Amino acid sequence: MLMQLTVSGLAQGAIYALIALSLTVVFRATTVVNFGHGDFVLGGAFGVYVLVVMLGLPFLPSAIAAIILMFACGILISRGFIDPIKAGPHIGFAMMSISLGYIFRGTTRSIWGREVLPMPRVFDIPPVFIGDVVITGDAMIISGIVALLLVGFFIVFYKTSIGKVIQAVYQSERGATLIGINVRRFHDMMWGAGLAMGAVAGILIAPISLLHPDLGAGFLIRGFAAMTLGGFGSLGGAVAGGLILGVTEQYAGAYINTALIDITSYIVIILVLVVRPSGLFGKRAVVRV
Amino acid sequence: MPPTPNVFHGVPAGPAYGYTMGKFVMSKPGTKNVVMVEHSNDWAKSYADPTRDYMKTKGIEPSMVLAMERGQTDATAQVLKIREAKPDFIVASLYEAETVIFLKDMKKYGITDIPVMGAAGTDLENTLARIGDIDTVKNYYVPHAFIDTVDGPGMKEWNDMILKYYPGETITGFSYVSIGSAVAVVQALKNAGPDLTREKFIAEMDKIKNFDTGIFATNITWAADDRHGVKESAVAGFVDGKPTVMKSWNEPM
Repeated sequence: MLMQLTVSGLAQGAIYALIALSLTVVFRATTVVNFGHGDFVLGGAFGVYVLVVMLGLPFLPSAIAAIILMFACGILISRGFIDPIKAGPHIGFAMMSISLGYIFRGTTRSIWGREVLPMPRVFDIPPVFIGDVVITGDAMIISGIVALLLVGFFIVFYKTSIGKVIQAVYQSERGATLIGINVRRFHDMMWGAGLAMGAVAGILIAPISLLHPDLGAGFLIRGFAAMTLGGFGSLGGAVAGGLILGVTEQYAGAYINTALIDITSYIVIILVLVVRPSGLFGKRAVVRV
Repeated sequence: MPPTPNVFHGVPAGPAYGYTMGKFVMSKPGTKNVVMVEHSNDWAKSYADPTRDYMKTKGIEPSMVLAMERGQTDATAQVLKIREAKPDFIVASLYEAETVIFLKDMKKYGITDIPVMGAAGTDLENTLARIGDIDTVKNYYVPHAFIDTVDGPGMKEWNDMILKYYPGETITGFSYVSIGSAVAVVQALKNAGPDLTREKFIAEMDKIKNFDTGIFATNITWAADDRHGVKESAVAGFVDGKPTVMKSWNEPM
């Protein structure tokens, strides 16, 4: 049972990792915690639903179109809603992201109601059996795509000139501005990247979980828990946090009580904040006085 | 507490469905080991508690009660525990989305021969449509208030009536909910005759006993001290791949 729980937990954790990473990308770049992110995660899935199920288009181009659409949505949010309130109190960002998320959720509800929508299965890969352990096609696809995406992300971040620019802005916006980097455009791009990565998570999970407007709330809290566990602002930490959280949920559910699965994220957040506020890989905040 | 004088309940509610769920589970010969999977909310309790109560009257307590909350996208932990418990029957008081996830994970981990009794919030045909695989739902049962399945000949009259007034309606089990009580109300109005008064109408409603509505699987009985007109329902499940309404285990209507 342990191995099966681990395999299943890692597949779930891969989704959490992607969501946590997409939250972290926006947070590191803009210091905004996107409380509407759970709803935007579903944006990609709803985009694919419209294109594939309602318009009858093939999956792959539809998925790419949905991801691009959410990227554009991110830019729009940055430019149209976050940038104008920059001079205001920081709480305004939180209120804005919550409101935008709820508007998105309300819009999907007004179109589809509370109907639970089936997403077509795209990849029908038979499961692999290793002894008693079942590795399903879904788990392989999710883990594979997320792994590829993460490798690509970290290569861009650490090995390319674009990554150097991102790191420069992460370290000091003022310094980046002085060497000619357009920080405002950088924020737009990071909002776009964050929403696009979240959209990938939504597209991957929706065929398994079915699609309904309220699905995003659970993903948001799991993304936060993974971020907290990995350390706020740590990109690698977000990924590690997501994977650990996925496995922890399974172990807690199977070996302690299934009622714990739903609250594991909250327990993780509380424990980490009390015991090690910087998380596993975060830096301790030092304030000079 | 006495019932409100002018309120009559004409559809099976949670207790009626829960009673039916328990009765159906216990009608399977040799049922001793029952595992329950449920949301921890009042909706799920409204089905699970009467199911438990009925099973208790037959001397059976669930061997395991597992939680699966709204929004969970994986049921691995629950299913692996069930696999170890080897139950004769599973009672799943889950919403539609979680029912689909649960049944899919049951299949994923090779549990295809244990029957699952679902709650009334799920619809058999919709569940199949959402899963898209008859093998995954072949042992899934749901309480069913009506005499036949949506596509069955017994519902043709009602389907035609609905489509006459709502031509674009996609008919599901939920489309018929209030028809049975409307039929009973019409009967009470007929019995009251001309010169209708509120008191006469209520008195005639209270005289409705064991009334066959032509659509509900069970009859309506109202009384001045009991306004829950429908006390139980039938169950729907797949028999040879076809949705079938049943009175009890292996006993079609």
